[in-house]
Amino acid sequence: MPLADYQRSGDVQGSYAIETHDLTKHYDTFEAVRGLSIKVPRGSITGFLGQNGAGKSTTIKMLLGMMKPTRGSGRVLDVDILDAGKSIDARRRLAYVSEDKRLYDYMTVRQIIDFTKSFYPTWKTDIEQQLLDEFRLPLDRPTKKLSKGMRTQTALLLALARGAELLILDEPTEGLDPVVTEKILELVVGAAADGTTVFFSSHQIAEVEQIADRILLIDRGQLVLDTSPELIAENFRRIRGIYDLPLPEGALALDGVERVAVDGRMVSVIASRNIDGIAHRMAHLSSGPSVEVLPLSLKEIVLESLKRD
Amino acid sequence: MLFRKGWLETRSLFVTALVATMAVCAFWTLGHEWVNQQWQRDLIEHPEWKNPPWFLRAMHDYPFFIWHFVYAEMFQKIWVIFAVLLGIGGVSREAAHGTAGFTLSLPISRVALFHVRALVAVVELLILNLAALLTIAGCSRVAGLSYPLLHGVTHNALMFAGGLVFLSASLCLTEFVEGEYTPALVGLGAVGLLYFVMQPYADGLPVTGVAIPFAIPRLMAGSGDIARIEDVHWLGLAVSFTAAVAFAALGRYRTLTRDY
Amino acid sequence: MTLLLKPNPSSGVPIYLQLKEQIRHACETGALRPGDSLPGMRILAQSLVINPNTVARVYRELEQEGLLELRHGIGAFVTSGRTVTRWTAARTGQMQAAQKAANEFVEELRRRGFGTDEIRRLVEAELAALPGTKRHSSSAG
Repeated sequence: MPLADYQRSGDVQGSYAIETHDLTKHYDTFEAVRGLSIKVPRGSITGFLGQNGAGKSTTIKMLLGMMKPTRGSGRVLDVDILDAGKSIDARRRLAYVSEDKRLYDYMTVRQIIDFTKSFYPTWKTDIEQQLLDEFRLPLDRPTKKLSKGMRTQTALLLALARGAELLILDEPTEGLDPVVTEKILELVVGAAADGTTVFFSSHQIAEVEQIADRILLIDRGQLVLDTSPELIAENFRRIRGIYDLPLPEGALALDGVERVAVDGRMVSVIASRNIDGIAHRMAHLSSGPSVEVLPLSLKEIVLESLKRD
Repeated sequence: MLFRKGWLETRSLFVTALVATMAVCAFWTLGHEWVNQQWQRDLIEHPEWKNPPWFLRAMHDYPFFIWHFVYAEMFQKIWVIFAVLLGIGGVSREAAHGTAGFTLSLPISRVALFHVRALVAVVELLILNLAALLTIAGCSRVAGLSYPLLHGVTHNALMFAGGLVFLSASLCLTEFVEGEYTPALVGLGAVGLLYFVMQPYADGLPVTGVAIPFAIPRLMAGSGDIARIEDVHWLGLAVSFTAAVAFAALGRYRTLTRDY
Repeated sequence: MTLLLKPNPSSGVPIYLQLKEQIRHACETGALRPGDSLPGMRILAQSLVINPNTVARVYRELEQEGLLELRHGIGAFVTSGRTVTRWTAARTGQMQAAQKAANEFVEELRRRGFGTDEIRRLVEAELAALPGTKRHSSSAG
């Protein structure tokens, strides 16, 4: 989808690259994923955040057909994830880079490129060549002799040269130096500019904030945040006030209040909307000179969302 | 390209087995004269040593000599070890190594992966038998000994048909046992145990009742005299082959239905 | 690409607004003049390493506001004249009036006994409550 003809995402046919409905996975007694319902619009760059063990990898595995859900359903590129036959066609149009980024030990870089290339009719040899040159990958070296950085670059080359409609990347920049990281983000952005949907999980919140237009946060198997950096910058605020006496019960049970934290005389509220209303009420009750209204970074919101009550 | 992957994956193992096979076959053919001379000397110098049942015949019957040392002993063991190691692998092993995600996200079915791997293994085992046949025939000629080709064909065919069950069991085992090296250890351990238990039966004790499943090594070797069709233990072969198919089906089912 | 700087995602100002502001500022100061072309959306997204949809939105909105002209298949160009703010005498006069208002405001608050830091906090809180304003720096003692 050339950017000059950009339409609002949601207007294109099959407007979601990934959709799940009540997706659930139990291992014996452990509930890895609980009732996950997400929608990833086509053409978006969606960041998938969550702590280790929160259920990100399990979710991705279910989307790729590597694991069978205990309950619920999902569609990837308009194909039911439970339909093994049709899923093969969907996989021809997507690329997945796992967290491991391991490659076949017994193949050289050239061999694994040739091997992967053979499965994708939409393979882009120009991108393959461009990335080979940029990354300076040694074609005849066995992959087991590559450094971690070069292995990641090879894995990304194999994904980006496919001409895929959807990229699913698990921690794509983990362990990479800042220069290479920026390069990879640049490539991801370039792919998105060509219309590819990018769904990537990451612990680097700053990166997600930089390039994502959608953010999904998963905690203990459940979706706890579904927003965008834009919404956060426009709507989320931290409002702080000073109070000599403890606030009456329910004083801050207002529309938009997400979290209330008390530290000595300082009461801090995280709000997702109705900022003026909340600030007014807090100023009214406050014994201090003023009420502060501060913006919130994605990192702060994620950390707040993950706090245990 | 899946076949190319299968080949690259098993290449080192195959070459090792091939070299070992050809070395063993070359030794017992080219070295037949030398071995015989050692035996002659031992008979004279150590009359007190007890001779194993096959000894006297092996001294003067060359095809029997080959049968004993190659088909019944060394080559058979190489073949079986190779069959077990070949069967280990696939997506299950890749899961331990970290590449399962990459493989399973390719636009290919799990069944295709399984079939290709099995087929590559079968072809490589066939080539191994062929290599044994040709090496023995060729080296025998070089050593000036006559070796009936039918003998070689029969025994290699028997080993292949009877031994497929090892490959199958291994293909199946790898789908149930996790880890990069554990399945190999379990498989080789099981085979080691089998041969240890079976050893007394290998050379002539009657095989009855419950010992029949353990008689595979003897089945694969056949008797030293096999020249006619009736000498083949057809029932044993049928049972072994059926077991092979059953193991393969189970392994295939498991890879289709399990989570990775 | 040094004409436009990489937006700061954590500043509290949405990235698209930062970019819009930067382009407007470039036009105001003359770094970009009417007729100049801006980088293609994809190239700009890649060089700033930000979401391409964001760039698309910025270009679209600036086109609607009359600052840019998007020629399909060719690129984005700064429009000639019209609504582009320039440092004119009128603007200078406005600036002087604004300075006078600020001076009166600060003097009034000082008369009421507010200290410098308190006044600063009040103003920043006021600005932060409006969308599209800068992040409040931590209050100094």
